[in-house]
Amino acid sequence: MEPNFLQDLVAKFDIGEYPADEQHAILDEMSQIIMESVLTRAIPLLPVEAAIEYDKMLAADADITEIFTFLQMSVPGFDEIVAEEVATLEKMLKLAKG
Amino acid sequence: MALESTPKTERMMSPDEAAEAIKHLKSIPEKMKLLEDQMRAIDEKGAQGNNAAEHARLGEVYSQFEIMKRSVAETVAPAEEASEPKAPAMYSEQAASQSRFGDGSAQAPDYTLAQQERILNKAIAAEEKSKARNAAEEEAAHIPPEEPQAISFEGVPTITGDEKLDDILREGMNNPSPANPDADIANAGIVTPPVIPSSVGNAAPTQVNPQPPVQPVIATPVQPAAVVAAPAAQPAITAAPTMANPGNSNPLNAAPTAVTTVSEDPKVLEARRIAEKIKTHPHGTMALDEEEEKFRRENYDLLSQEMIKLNTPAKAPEREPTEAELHSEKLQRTREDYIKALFNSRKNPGVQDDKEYLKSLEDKYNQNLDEGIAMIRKESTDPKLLLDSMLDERRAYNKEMRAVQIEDVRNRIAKTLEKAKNTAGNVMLYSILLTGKLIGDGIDLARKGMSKLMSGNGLEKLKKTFAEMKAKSGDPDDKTPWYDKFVTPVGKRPFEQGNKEQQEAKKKADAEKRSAELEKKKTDNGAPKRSPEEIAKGQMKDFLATAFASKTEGKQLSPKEEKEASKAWETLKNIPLHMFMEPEKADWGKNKATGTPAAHSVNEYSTAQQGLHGKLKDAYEEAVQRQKVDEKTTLEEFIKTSIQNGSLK
Repeated sequence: MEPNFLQDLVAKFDIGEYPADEQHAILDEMSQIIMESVLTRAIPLLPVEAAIEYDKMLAADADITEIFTFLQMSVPGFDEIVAEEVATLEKMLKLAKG
Repeated sequence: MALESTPKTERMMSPDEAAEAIKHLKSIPEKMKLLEDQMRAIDEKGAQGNNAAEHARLGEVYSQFEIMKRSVAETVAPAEEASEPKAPAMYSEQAASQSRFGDGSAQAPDYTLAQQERILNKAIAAEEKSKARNAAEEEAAHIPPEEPQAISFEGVPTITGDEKLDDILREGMNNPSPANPDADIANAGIVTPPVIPSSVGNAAPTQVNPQPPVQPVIATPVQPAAVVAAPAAQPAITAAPTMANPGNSNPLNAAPTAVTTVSEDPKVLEARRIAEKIKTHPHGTMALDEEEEKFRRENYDLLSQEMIKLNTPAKAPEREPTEAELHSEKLQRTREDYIKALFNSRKNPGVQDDKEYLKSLEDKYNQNLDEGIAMIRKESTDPKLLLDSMLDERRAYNKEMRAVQIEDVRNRIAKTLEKAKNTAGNVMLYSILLTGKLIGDGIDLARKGMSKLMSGNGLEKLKKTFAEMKAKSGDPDDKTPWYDKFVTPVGKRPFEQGNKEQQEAKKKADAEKRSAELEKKKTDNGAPKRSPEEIAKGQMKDFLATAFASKTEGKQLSPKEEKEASKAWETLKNIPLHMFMEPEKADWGKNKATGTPAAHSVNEYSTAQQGLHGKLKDAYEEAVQRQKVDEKTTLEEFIKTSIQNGSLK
């Protein structure tokens, strides 16, 4: 990731006041939470057939990236879910910021 | 001790008297039990003042009984058996108990009182020995060597005073109604205390455990004061710690308050005592005597409850919850309510009542969230604390969201999260961002990021980058994840890769390397091999052709083709058709609102356009001529209409 991108993330989530190390830690943590939120919302929306396929992928020890790509392909409105989850976290952090 | 004749001056015992004496001796355990209860009752009251004196008196009697019981069962008979030559058959245990006195019909020889008492003792001892043997057989595997030693009574001063036993026997003979133990006790000069259920905690060890290890202080008849003093001294010890520690896990040590004492059922107290014994004794239930075992069997549930209480960890002293704790509780409740409603609402979309209800719960949840933030702010000015709280809240929310799912789904999520755990969060986030799924109307962050990533001639770079990605992922021999081109491997932070100058230098070096590689790949006739971009175009063309074929001609696809076609179709179906057909006229290179690169790569569009089936192009041209398409008509709509009107077959 380019430094510009990092700056964007820091600006977006308004965490510029923290030292660089903490910024990185916060971003990592937020990434984890977004990922967790997206998976929690997206997986229940898998259509039945896709869910069967998905279970097979899990059993076959598929790579997480493959899994994620599959979800993107199979879950209707996946983009919106991702967008909403990022936006929600952003909103919450802004709320906390006051 | 030999069965010697005692002087003939002693009064002889008649068979009836002897039988009474036996009965009396046999009633001793019952009397002891009653005494225990009475002493416990006194303990419950605190053993102060008159109670203490009464307790002491009872203790004295108890200790006498204890000595007597032990003497009878353990000292006299075993000692005789061990030291004496074998008695004649007529004095065998059986003979003594049955022929001589059992039925009272046998001739009563002229024995002295001492001799008769020994015979009686032997009879009792035989009975007890038989019981002990049975118990020992059961417990043999569990009892360590120390236990039998306790029964052997070695080292304990032998009761030398025959007169002691005389007294006992006399007492038995003076109480003509041994069947009524209460009367015996009353006759023995003991004032029966009010029957108040008692706890066992304050009882002296021997009272708690009718089969205790040897405790010489109790067995020594010359020190009755010590025995008596023990129970009286106990209350001060037991009451104090439990008052200081209301959460004492051991209910037997709980402070015997007047309220609990009076209200508790003696059965409960007995159950508690036995439970404590089971818990503390190394042999557990094996340590119970006959009566206790009987009680256990008859009151199994009660005993179980007491055992559970004993095994329940001590609770922290109760205190008033803080404002923050109360709020946290409230927030949790509203979060749960909201998520449950949300879950139901998603299952049954469109139900207006549900929507309104959901909205009300969402408002409540948000209100609580706001209040929580305000409270934290009041407590601390540290912004990190608030930020952490919000992240925690989001985690809790996710957790709750998972909890409401059905089991299959929960498992699916759990397995996925487990896999994702080993993937650094940033890699996942970047992969989300870089797959392009966030680019577009959703998140301007991604747009900005990609735009800046491709700073300068961004569009061209973007085009090339995606082409490389496609080529990379399309090469069956290349196992490198595509995102490695963009995302630093797990464990390394991308922004730790050096400063801007270093990165520029690295980029330049990479570009030169790629040119050199391309040059090397030239064929013998000088024509370059297909570049990654060309390969990507070819693949995309194939994908689209396949997708289109499947949509328009009903072609049977292989599973792999189906997958590719579906993917391509999902990507392209909603894109306005004219962007494929007349790319030079479409302003699709930039997002009109932001001026940044659009969601989908230039490359994808151009290759898509190339890849469209000839029939589609013909249909399009025809439709344009008939003015049936406009800027908004999507690929999907167009194909459907074309098939319906027959322009596309």
